[in-house]
Amino acid sequence: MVFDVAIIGAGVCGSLIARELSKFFLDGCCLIDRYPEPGCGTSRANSAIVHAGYDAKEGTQKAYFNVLGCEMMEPLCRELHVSYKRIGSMVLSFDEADDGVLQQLLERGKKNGVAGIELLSREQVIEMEPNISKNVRGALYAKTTGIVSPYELSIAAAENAIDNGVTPMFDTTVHNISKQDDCFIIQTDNGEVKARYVVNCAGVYADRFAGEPGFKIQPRKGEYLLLDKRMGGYVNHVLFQTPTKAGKGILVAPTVHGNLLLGPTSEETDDPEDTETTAAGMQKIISSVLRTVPDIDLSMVITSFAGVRATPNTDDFLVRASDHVPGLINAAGIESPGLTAAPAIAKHVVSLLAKQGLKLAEKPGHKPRKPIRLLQDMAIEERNKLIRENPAYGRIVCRCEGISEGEVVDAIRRNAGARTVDGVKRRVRAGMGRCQGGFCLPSVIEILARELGVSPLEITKSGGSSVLLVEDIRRCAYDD
Amino acid sequence: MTTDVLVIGGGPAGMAAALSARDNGADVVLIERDKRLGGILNQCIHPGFGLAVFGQELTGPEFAGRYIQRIRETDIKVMLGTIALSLSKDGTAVAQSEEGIQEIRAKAVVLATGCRERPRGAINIPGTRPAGVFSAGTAQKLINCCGYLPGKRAVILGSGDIGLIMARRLTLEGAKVEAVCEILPYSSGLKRNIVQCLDDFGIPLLLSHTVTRIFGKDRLSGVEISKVDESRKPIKGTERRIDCDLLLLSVGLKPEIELCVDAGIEIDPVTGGPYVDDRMETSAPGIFTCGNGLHVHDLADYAAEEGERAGKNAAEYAKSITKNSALAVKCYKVRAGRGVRSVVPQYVSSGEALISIRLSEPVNNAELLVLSGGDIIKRVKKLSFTPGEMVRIPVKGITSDVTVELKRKGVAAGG
Amino acid sequence: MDNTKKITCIICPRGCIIDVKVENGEVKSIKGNQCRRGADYASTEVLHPKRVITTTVYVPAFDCMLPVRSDKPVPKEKIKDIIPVIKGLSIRRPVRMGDVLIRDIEGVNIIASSDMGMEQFQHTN
Repeated sequence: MVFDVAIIGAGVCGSLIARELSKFFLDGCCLIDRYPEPGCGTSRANSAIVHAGYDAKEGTQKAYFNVLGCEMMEPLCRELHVSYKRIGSMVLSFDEADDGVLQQLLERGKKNGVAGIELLSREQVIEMEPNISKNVRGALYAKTTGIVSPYELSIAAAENAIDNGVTPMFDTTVHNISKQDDCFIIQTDNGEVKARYVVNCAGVYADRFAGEPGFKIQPRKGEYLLLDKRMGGYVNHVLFQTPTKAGKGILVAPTVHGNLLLGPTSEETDDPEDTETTAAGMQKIISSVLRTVPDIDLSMVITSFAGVRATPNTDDFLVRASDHVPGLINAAGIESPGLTAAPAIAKHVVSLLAKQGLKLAEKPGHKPRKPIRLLQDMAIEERNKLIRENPAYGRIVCRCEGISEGEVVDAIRRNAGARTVDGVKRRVRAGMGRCQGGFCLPSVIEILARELGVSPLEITKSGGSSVLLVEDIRRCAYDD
Repeated sequence: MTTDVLVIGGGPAGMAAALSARDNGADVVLIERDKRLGGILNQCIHPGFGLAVFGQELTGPEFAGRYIQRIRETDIKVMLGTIALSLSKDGTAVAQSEEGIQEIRAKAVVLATGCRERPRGAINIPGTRPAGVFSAGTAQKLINCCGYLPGKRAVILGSGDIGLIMARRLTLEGAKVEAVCEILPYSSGLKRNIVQCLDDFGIPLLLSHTVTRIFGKDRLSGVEISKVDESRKPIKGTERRIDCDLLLLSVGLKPEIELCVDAGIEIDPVTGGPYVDDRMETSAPGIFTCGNGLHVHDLADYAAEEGERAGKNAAEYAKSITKNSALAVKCYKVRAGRGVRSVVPQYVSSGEALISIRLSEPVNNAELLVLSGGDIIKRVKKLSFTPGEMVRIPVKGITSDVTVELKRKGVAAGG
Repeated sequence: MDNTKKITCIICPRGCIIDVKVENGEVKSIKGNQCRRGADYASTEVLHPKRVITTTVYVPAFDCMLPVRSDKPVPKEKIKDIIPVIKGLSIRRPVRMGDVLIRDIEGVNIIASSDMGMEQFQHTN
């Protein structure tokens, strides 16, 4: 079969592009990703910020898509039932040089068309953020900054795309793409995929398929620290320090689930999948945030993690139809503000495909995404009704987050569903609480094995060869 | 549903509390989240239980079995597969099970919720995030209850009892334990476990060592260990790599206090559990606690004994007319003095109490003093304990605030 | 041949370090213990160390792991021989705690450490 469109990469960009395309009649659209689930690359480990758009240089694609995407994010998250909060942000000034930077960012923001930005005085900042260092001099306040759950967004978009006819191809690594006449031949470890159009949103590997000589992705790692929910209210806005060449710097931000996030660092790395945290990295985060919040209780750290940015050597997104390869659309070099830009990029890619000749007839009756409803968010009568219909909703699997077996099963059975322990964690939060899966792990493995019809020995933490159980020791003498 | 005493948690402390409350005339409801009673005992298949309570050396399940048998013979209402979602200050719990969600109103509540293990994030070991890093208790559950080995070649971080027990368990199931690392210069586990779990199998115990890095992309391939100095900081140049596919973390336990926080109960930051008086009552009138949910025990026997006391007092509270918290009424404070890390109970409302203490450092042949109003009311000579072992001291004659301290040679008491 | 072994006694939390002098396979002297039980433990430990075995056996009929134990300590060196025999157990019926599963192996019985295959309580509400 020859697909109309093949999308390489089911991160937040690829998944949103797939979802947009699923609104049209197509002769097949497939969403290909090397991981078992969507959003497992850069989309999984980032600052989760929906940026206002004053940071990106004027006239760049980054600036354009950032500002657009920022406005699109709230209605999109509502449609997809993804956690989002518009909490605003501050870029803080601690010295005179910083003051100058704030002024520059203010002007840039205005040029980029960002609404709701203004400079705040020291007193205003301290009033709005009582835990901030008293050394602060002022801040650039942006009302439109938001926080979102990036993996929730990828998962929701991919699921909705598949609900509406997109063909998922997970656990599928693309090795090579070639073109024969008007047909792309995508060589994967699961065989060949043929398509008339290809959208390249392969994240840290996007330079391999961009067909763009001289275009290189330099992977850049960012480490983070995550604090307990008891610290979630320590600050009210996303707090930035002034940006440097390496990026927006280390921030302090509440997460949409109520934790506190510190980070990221910025280190170039040779390995596109280098998600190793380092003692030096953690130290850097700590010394940096102490400047912003000197009294923060660091014993509240519950975990650390790292993500890899797909930093392009062009300093800007590469969202355009390829000049060299007709039918190839690139959405590459999507580093910050990539998450924010993704909804806008998705719409733009669809228009690029149309310009390339893809016939797009709107499909009526696009199925909306069913929300993941957690019992803890329901009233007691509704919960009891659910439990009466299905007792699995009454059996608690994750004590820390109060998640039942029924909810874990739902997370597996949905389209773009969980295939791994981490996947379950990301969908229904079982394993994300204070004990970090210590209590629920055996149950989650058991449920995954049962639902996927495999031995518990095949269940992985996050795909690939990350199996959790190494040997079955249930030896016994007799035959069944 | 209403009852006199609601016991939350069916481990050793909870079962003992339920029985004792029943014995003291209260109607009792006991809720347990697992499909059976026993709590953590069900996965502790090794012997070491029952020496104090029954004078016999039993395995965890056998110890649990003694209580389960007795409970079967009573009319205690046992609700299995039932978890308490929330608890209010007035003793109302919202519980969930396969049958649905219901409110349980009790005149008195005993919290016996046990404790949880500190995960990797709590100590933040740098490195990759491969499969193969487990807390020791989770690995114990996987091996003993599920029947799977999470690895064949292990390094264990933490020489607490769970880590030591797992060193033996892994070895008996065919895995190789390369080393047990302990960040302190002494082990926090019981001496019997060092002998029977490490020495027996020639497993090295590396004191003043910790894991400083984790390797492996999808699956653990090794760890880097380093020696640490007196302030527990890794010493540069001492790093070495141990190849392994399993890292067990036995790096501390914390009382499960989520329901306490719900009910606004005051928590002692040193023990991580609620403040209690000698009746095991918390700062919320009518809410009692015991076992690992109050403070971390090393012997389940003592957790059960605490449960017994809590149950008895909960039953009495349920029967009594006056419903004031003893903590609100005149109460003497119990203070941890020199050389003592924590004391439970932190308050006494009568003239006598059984005080459980943990020391700050290991001691050999030291003298422990209990002072009340400047007078020495109890003296324990030739004390030899590590902080991993809880010391219990029955004390009489309390007439004012109490201090428990170690006496060093040549230093006057209270000086 | 004179041999002095240092033993950490595990009978009580004191953990006395006991020196046991062995000559020609016989205990000649015990020093450092503070009680009788310690002395007994030390001499046994040096000459014929024994341990209680505990392990698990899978029971397919009930799809669960049954904890089992030796009812008395066995000689330490025999543990590796006994474990495979235990693992080879074939249990097809419900079991009560204390039921003998293997009779008289190296001088001990292997018994069930827990009930299995029976409802613990009538499921109540």
